[in-house]
Amino acid sequence: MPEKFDVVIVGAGPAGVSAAITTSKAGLSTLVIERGDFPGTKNMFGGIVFAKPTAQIVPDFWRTAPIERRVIEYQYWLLSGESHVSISHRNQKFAKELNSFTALRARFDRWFAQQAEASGATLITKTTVTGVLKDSRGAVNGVTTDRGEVLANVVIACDGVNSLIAKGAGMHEEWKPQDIALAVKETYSLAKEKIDERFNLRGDEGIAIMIYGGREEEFAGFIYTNKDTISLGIGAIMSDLAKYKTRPQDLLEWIKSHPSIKPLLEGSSLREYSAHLIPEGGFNKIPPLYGDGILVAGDAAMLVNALNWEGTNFAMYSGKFAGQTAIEAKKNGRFDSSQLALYKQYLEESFVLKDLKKFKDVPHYISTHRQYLTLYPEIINTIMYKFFEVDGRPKEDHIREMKKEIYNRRGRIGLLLDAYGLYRRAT
Amino acid sequence: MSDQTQPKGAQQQALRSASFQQSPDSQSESSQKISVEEKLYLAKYKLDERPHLVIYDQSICLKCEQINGTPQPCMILCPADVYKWEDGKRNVVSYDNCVECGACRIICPYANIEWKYPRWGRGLSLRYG
Repeated sequence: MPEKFDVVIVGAGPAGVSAAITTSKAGLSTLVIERGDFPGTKNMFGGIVFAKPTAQIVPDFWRTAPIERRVIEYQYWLLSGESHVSISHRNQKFAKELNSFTALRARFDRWFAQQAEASGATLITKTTVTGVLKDSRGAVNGVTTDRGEVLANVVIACDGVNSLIAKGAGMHEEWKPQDIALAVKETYSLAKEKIDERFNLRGDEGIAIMIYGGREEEFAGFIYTNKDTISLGIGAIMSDLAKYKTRPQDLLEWIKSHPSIKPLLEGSSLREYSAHLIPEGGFNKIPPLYGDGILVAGDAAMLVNALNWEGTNFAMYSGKFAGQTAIEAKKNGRFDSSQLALYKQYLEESFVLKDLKKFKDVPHYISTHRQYLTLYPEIINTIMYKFFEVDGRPKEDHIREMKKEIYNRRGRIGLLLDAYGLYRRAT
Repeated sequence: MSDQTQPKGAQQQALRSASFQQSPDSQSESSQKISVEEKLYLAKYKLDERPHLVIYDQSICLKCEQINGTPQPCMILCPADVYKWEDGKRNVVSYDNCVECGACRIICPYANIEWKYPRWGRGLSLRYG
């Protein structure tokens, strides 16, 4: 007979570990199965982690967590061919009361999983879960791995964006390329003093830059400062990459050589290259979140708010709610889908599904109205250029050209429709 | 979208042509570029001798090539150059390059890639992530 646990969690990422901390603290026997050498070695993100959601799982986490830098400045860039327009916000309040911090998954997730072990969860690594076990009624009651089988009252699938467990259990079909972004990232080492100087930072202050634009394919990029490394990445929707035959690695090389970005990386050396999928389908594409004996959390359940660059906190919260659902199920001695439906209720009552529902039409709207990312960044860059350009001609001429830039390229009615369309869906 | 609009001023046209219309390969930086192969050498990697990526049916790849041309979708999307079209008839899979993202499996129009994770902690190990 295989060993049996109250809860078996697939994957020691932010969702799985949050679930494990929740259930093990409540005294449920909890096993976390991780396929990497140790938690974090298979994981990749931008990235920044938001502090308040993290504190919900591990109060006072900042005393021991491997934080890279506290983000005190956020920037949004609209990138054009050889220019960018940016809006930035720097605030010392972010230094006093931590809002988000930069992190590296291989370090952060390892520490995070140690917190689950300290709460009493059992962690096994270097073990790949290959599928679920079902009882005679078809309810999930365990998992199969490359080292054998384990039984569970509840399986929580936190196996990340590929979501092979839920797919294998028959809960949903393969994702569609139009709902998934492919991001590639590089990490460069650079002396801390150089980073401080280059980005106007002191101590453990950090900066987060989020970049939008469109060549043919629409893209989103990012730059984050870590202690003595810089993370640079870029992603695009998979169907866009395929349509325009753009290789993600070429997109990364292109943004690296952009004149606004190249100087930021000068003198650094490449330490790591990685790639990861981001589930960006939003509310309308969320698969079934629970079944008999099984819950799905984090990326595996497409719980990402791409619009606000939030994923890790959605993973942590959904993991926590899945854990709480398992605790209630154990109390009632029932693990069928009507009992586990409580999980969806928790999510609906929190920002997780509220936010995703609020912006449910935005992913589809932006991807079917390509002007937002392929045209406006260019128009705005041209307008700003004309605004600052001094060339001996009267300002009247510049203003006329600025107007022409908009009217010729989008039109007055188009402009109004675009403003209204976005306002209606995003507010 | 912008292609359908009225003729643009010469300045705008210059801006555009100086920017996104180039193919990545035509950029002046290309000589300094590090290849994906070289980038992958930076990673810690332990081989699982059993391939975790397998083409179910090579004749489907051939059909895909006839319809989509080459590079096929898996070859465009793969960020680690795992898939190569050889002798105009065979999809050769260098699964030891794989960064385990899953893009090939999702983009393959024929669901023709058996995609698993490597076993026993093998495959790619990130040090930063």
